[in-house]
Amino acid sequence: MPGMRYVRASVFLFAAILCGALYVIVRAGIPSEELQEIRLAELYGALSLAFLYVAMAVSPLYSAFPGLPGRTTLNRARRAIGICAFCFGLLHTWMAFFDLLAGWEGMAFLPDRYWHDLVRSAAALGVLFVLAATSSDWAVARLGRRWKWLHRLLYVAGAIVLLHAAVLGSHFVSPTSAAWIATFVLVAVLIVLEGMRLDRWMASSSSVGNLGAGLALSLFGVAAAAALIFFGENSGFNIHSTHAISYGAAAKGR
Amino acid sequence: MLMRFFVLVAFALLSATASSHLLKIDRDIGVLIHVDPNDAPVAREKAALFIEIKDRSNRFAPERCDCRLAISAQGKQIFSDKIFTQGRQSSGSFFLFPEAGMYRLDVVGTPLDGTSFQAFRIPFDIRVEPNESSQGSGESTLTRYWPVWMVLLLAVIAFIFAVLSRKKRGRP
Repeated sequence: MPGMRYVRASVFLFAAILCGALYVIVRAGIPSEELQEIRLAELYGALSLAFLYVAMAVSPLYSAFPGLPGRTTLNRARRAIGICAFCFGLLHTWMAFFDLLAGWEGMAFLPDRYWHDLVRSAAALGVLFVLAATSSDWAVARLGRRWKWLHRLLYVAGAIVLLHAAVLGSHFVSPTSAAWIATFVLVAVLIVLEGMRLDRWMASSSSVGNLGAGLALSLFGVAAAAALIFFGENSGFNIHSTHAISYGAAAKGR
Repeated sequence: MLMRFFVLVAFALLSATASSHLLKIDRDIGVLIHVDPNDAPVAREKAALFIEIKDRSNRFAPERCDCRLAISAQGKQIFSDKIFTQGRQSSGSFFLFPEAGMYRLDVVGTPLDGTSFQAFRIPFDIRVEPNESSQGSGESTLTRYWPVWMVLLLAVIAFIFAVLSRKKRGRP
């Protein structure tokens, strides 16, 4: 297909335009420099998550619904989408670490829970770097069958990034917040698609056929996750829930 | 297909952006601050201020500190109160900003015995948004509705890409 040649370039161009447009809009529209830096770090983080999600969703989506249009385009674009996820993640890390958390000097002043999350997030960024670095046609040819196994680490990075948002994101304190609901729906869709993919794989590779075990297992996982999120509201899992304790202490003390 | 998928996911995730902590340092003392709601409080609505102080040399103790939060607007101090009430190294308090604009928050600490730890003063600039429920807004709509602009921008880019890819495939 002649148009296929430009798919990856289009993804990179789209990401670059988005990145530049957001930068200009935030810098021009927000008068406080500190707030500009906060908003840019947030937006680039959210975009990294969005690109990562799309890269993770392509295979299970087309495995569950093989008749969906755009399969060739998305498959061709997937490595470029992953590279963009890494680039936005790097921008988010750079702005959050050097502008908001005072860089290397600030590390001595961060609470322990912050530290744990930063180490986990650095590991996720490291994984994304390795995946981005091995996304060229040359690397695919060179690594052969090992490439596919290596790039399954994308799911590990995705899980860590999600944990990072759940621990540090102030909008993730309450399970009824828009942030939790949007994230939960997106992750639930991905888990169910993976369950359907597992069913198809089992049907094609065993004589037992499609029992629907993958779908049942994924639905059980989604229900368990929903319960965990809902009943974990006051568990202190999110770093901002400790602020609420301080506000309570202040209200009692004054 | 690809761009529609992007727009859908980005729309969902833009609602999930996380607001942030800000860390500033004065030699051995670091102050981590978080302002709710969403790092940009609204005039005449309760804003929550969370402050955590950490000393690199481990000499700081809240009970030995005259630690104060001073809030000023246009160079004039409008509020000053003790930060710690129960010997905690972190503090949460509420404040009602009277009107929209830029405010300076100074976290100031002096040791009660004069020498036990380093005295510090760490400033933070806070932008307070106008309260649109009670007055005409002088604020930029670009700032206030930024998530909407982001989604519209994504939609426009997706539309352009969709048209271009159709043309490339030779469709009308």
